[in-house]
Amino acid sequence: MKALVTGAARGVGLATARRLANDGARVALLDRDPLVEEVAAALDPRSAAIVADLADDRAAVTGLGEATAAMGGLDALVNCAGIGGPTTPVAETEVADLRRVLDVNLIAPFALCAAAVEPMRAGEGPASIVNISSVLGVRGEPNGAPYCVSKAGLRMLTEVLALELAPTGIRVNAIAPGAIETDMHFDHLREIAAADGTTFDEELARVRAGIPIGRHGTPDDVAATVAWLTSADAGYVTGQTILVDGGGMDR
Amino acid sequence: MSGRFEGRGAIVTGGESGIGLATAERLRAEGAAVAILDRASSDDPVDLAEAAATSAAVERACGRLGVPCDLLVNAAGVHRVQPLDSVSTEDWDAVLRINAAAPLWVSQAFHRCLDSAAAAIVNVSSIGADRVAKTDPAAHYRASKAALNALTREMAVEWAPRVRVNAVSPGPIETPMLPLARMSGKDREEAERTFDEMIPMGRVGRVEDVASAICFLLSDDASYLTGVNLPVDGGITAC
Repeated sequence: MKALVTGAARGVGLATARRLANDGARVALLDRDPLVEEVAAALDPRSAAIVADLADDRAAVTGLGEATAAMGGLDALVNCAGIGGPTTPVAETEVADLRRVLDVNLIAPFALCAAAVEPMRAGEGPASIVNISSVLGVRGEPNGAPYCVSKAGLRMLTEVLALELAPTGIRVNAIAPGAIETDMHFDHLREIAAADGTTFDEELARVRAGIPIGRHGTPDDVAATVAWLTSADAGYVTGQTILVDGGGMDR
Repeated sequence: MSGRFEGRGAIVTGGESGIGLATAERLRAEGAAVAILDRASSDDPVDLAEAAATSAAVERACGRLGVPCDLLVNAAGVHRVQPLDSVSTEDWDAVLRINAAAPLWVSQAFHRCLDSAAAAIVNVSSIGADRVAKTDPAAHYRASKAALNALTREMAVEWAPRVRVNAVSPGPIETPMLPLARMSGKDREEAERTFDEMIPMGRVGRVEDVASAICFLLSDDASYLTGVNLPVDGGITAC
């Protein structure tokens, strides 16, 4: 398998790149942080590193072209890169901030999905796309509409693209992670703590209390589901969003 | 194949045919010791419509596996095509009993016998819980699978964090239960065409497609998944 993983310098993207590489895939790691070059070199000598800022959809597509060329094909695209965005009520949210979130979380994955179709169709084996959405793209919460909207949009993109590509055999699925131990989640909790006059530890405990499994998820938990979705074992699964949330949505 | 389930014991209801059989085979291939609960079982046949007999059979199965029994697949089910006007109380009870109540009885007994720190259950539901086709009237079947979905979420939350409970919702799968299996000639050709047009991926699913999803949900790779209902349907629920 030849897989492009975005947002691969850290967090879920890095865990995904590592898991796919460990499972035998050749991986291209894309991130705006130049650190990704070191990360890729340490991960697997066969891997490729691409520095590109997904705030620019043309840079994203150029990056996909470089990844495809470096690997000699493309049969998996994992859109992990994402940003958190403002934690303000809609009435106080600047449209410019909304655009900034949509650019990275929705427009870039859209452009990457679009650009992936041709190389995937040209490949010999089965191909698939996995978009990392969020439980916040399934069920909203106050103060963070840009993020919620972007992740809900990514789910619908997943469904529409899955239907369009089903006859070609290219499968498209999404994952909706809950609270995962990443810098992004921890930064979000720090912001809430600052706004509510609580502590980070209190926010961490509050989130954990809402998770039936009783712990935060790890980037490896999400990566394991990506690995399954891109495998032949998921050959009849397309257009789905799989919750990786420790049961948090069932409460 | 990797031994993901080496040293683990599993109970599979309905394991003598269809999705249950494919799942039992896959689990065995990956190292699990498997006990089948099925009325067609040769060593310990059980009628899942009987609560007490079913509980006792689960206890016997846990005892004879020889390894800790910490995996359960509720795959047994019945399907009847029946217009609303002809559904009797007996029909309703019979379908709800096997498809919704038996998974509860089996899971309760499994939970009682459980002696491991972590366990996983997968319930085999159906996309028919949420979708209706006029050509396939089955009110009791749909209601039973909707009940099973609610039961899945209930078990996931009540038994967390020790037991993970998830469901798969197959679309049309090549099993003896598919009405297609009982058709022939022109009827069958027409039904096949309807299926192929209805299914975005353009093919009816195989039992192995569902077994692989069940085994993923049972595996440690899914250790943060509980309460999930995963459609395995070639894209039907995306439209």
